[in-house]
Parts: sequence; C-alpha cells; structure tokens
Amino acid sequence: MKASLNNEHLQKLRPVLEELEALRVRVLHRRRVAKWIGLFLGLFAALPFLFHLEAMLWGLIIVFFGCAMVQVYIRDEASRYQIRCKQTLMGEIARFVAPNCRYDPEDWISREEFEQSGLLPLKLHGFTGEDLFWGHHEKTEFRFSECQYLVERSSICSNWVTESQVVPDFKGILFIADFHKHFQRTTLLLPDLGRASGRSPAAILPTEAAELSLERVRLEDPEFDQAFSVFSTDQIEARYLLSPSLMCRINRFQKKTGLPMWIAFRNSKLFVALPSRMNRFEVNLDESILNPTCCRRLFEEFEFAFALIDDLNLNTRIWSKA
Amino acid sequence: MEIVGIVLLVVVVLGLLIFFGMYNGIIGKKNAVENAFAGMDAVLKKRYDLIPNLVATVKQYMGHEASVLENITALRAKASSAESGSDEAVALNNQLQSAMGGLMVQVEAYPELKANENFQQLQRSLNEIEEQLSAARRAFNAAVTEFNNAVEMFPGSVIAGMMGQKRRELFEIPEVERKNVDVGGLFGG
Repeated sequence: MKASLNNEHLQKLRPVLEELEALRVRVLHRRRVAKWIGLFLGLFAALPFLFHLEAMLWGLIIVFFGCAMVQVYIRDEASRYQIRCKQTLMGEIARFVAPNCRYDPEDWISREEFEQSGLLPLKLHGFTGEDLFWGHHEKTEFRFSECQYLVERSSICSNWVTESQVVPDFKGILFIADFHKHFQRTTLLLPDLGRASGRSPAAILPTEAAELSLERVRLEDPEFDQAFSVFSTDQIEARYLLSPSLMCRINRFQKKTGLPMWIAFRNSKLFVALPSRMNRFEVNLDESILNPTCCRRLFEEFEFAFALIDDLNLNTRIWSKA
Repeated sequence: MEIVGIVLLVVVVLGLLIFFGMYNGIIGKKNAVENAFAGMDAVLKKRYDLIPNLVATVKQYMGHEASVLENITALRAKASSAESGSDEAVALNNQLQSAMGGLMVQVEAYPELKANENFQQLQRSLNEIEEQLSAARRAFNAAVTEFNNAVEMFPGSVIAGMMGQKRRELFEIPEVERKNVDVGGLFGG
C-alpha cells in the first residue's frame, strides 16, 4: 500500500486547518502590533537622550533592549503557533495516512535505543531530538524521529598541544524498523565516503561496534560495493540479509534521497541514520496553512519512512518471522 | 665486506618475511574456503532435516502425488549420505532442489494444503533455508575468488605452486535455478 495525502484527506483536515489559519493570522497581527509598539516606545524612551550627546549611548541601549524584548515576544508567539500546528496537524496527517501511526512532537528516539545499532560514536556529548513517529506500516513496526548529537573531537594545535572540542556530528532522521528475517549477528553498512576503503572497521568506526570482530564483506554488486562499505561478524549472514534484490533496493533508495546513509542490522532490527540539513516537520509562519502545498510538504517529509519500508520490501513476510 | 654481508642478511630476512607472510595468507584463504564450504554443508543439513516434516504434512493432502514424494524422500536419503562436496552430492542436491520446486508448483492445485498452518510454516522455513543456502554459496564463491586471486597472481602463484595449491572451482548455479522463482507468488502475495 502506497501512502498518500489526497484531496479527500485535505477536505477532512479543513476544520483543523481553518482553526490553525485563524491562529496564524492572530499571531501575525500581534507580531505587527508588537513591532510598531516596540518602535514607538523605543523612540519615545530614547528621544530625550538624543538631544544630549553624552546621553546618546543610553538612548541606543534603551532602543536595543526595546527591540530585543519585542523580538523575544514575537519568537514566543511563533513557537506557540509551531507547537499548536505540530500537536494538531502532524498528528492528524499521520493518522489519516496510516491509522496505526502515532506522533509526539516533544519526544524522540532515545540514545539507549539507537545505541543498540552500534552506529553511535563513543564520546557522545548531548543527544536531543523531536518529532517522534511510531506505529505499524502493514506488518512492519517502526519508530523514527529527528535527532542530533555532538561528539568530542581531539585536535593538535599549532603549539603541539592536544585540544578537545565538542562539535556537532549528526543531525537528521534516526529510523528503527523490525526486519523481516531472523538473524543473530551484526552487519553494518557505512557510506563509502572515500575514507572507508581499505581501512579496518576499528579505524573508521569510533563506536562500540568496533570492538566486535567485524570483517569487511565484499559483495557481488559492484555499484553497491562502491556506495557502501559492509562490515559483519558473519559473512554468510551478511549475504543472507543483503540479498541481491535488497542491495538493488538500498541502492535505489539511497539515490532517491541523494544523501549518505548509515545502516545497521542488529538485534533483529534495521537501523538507519539519514542526515539532513533542514529542520523537518516545521511550518512557516509566513505561509498560509490553507495552502495545500504546505500540508503536502509536511506529509512528504514523513512519508519517506513508508517509502523506506515499501522500497526495502520489509512487509514481505515469506520467511519464518511472521 | 661487512656491509655487503649485512645487506645480504637484511635482504634474506626480508625475503623470508615476505615468503612466510604470503604462505600464511594462502593458508588463511584456503581455510576461509573450507569454512565457507562447511557453512554450505550446515545449511544443507537444515534442508535435509526439514524435508521429512514437509513430506509428512503434504502426504495427507496429496495422496495422488505419492511418486513425487517418494522421489524427494529417496533423493534426500542419497544426498545426505553422499560424500560432502563430491560431484555426486552436488548433482543430488541440485536434483533435490528441482524436485522441491516441482512440489511447490503442484501444491497450487491443493487449496486445503495451502491453507494448512503447519504447511505454511514449513514453507516459510523452506524459503528461509533456500535463501540461507544461496547466501552460503555466495560466501563460498567470494572466498574461492579471493583464494584464486592469491594463487594465480604473481608472486603468490610461485609460492602456491610450491605448496601444491591450485585454482578452485566456483559454485555454479544450476540452469533450472537461473530462472527467477517468485516465492512470494506461492503465498498468493
């Protein structure tokens, strides 16, 4: 079943959209009023000081603080609109398209949950996220959310002193789904960014998975072998999981997204890390929510999970795992 | 003279190190081939274990196809007792696979059997074993390719010749298996 958001869905969403549009218009109006009030108050407060040169600095400080307060108020209003949209609209879209899909804008895939994949770096500093979706797409159970984490990196400075810095390492979607075949070992697929070739997993995997006796798996599909470096603790199981057709499907999906993908098969689950530069599942205050393209964009941003399940054929249950 | 002696010594030691490194590399690759072969044997054993259960379940519904089931039982007995890796074992396993494929096609004519839960579970297990077998063959071929590259490329070919190691044959897919089998179709999916 291919998930879609059609005109009928949009019609059913109409009452929610109209309520949100009214809120958006109110927020925009308040923002305009706040801007004018801020400007007038700032000028009014600063006016007496402008005639005395020595007091001009105070005048500028007052104007600056006036603008900052208005800015905080505007941002607060915009974020209130954003949260309301997420709580009502995203949840509704998710339910319309997949009745078994649930959504919590303030939750995310936990660090402990994704640590099972063996893809998370060891020296992790901060793991946050938002927009957790979970449920079933036909027979496949899934969970995904936006996540970001920071890592500690050491570098040698000009005076040969090692300095540690906390830098962002990943921002994007973390996806977990039940895999349709039974397996016991670990298999990792790393994007071959020109650094993985010919190097041991310990060198390119600063994760706990590097401690496992991972071996490089050379697969028959040259295109796939070029796109991914495959490491596994079992050569036969890796090939059992990565059948020629699955390799083709992963290749196709990766080309469709145009992004590097990190994939792990572990604990009978499929883990996917998909980096993204943009902040997904957000609405723009300056764009009318009644515009169908707005809903469609939101839908497309989360539809990728269904595409991933469909494209990788995870709903095919012809093996002993029901 | 002393310097020449040292240089010669270094060259000899380096040569020996390279020789032992390549020798061990070839032994490692030969063992990997044997390990991959054992992996194939383990999956074939799983297939042999599954067949009696499958035949017992199918027999209740397919009384008219007794000859097909007898043929599968006989092939299983011969294949499991044949010497592992011999041409005879390979041929028997190919015949067994072909006979099992034929049986699955005949099952289409027995809707009651297709609906039997026990049969469905056995069919799922068979699909799983066939995929595992295919994966084991691919792993075997990958190990053989690495071994063949090591024994045929210079200077490994010289050392392999001294060790009596020769090129090994890849596992070829039988002609009947080259056709894509729609296993999903067997479930009406």
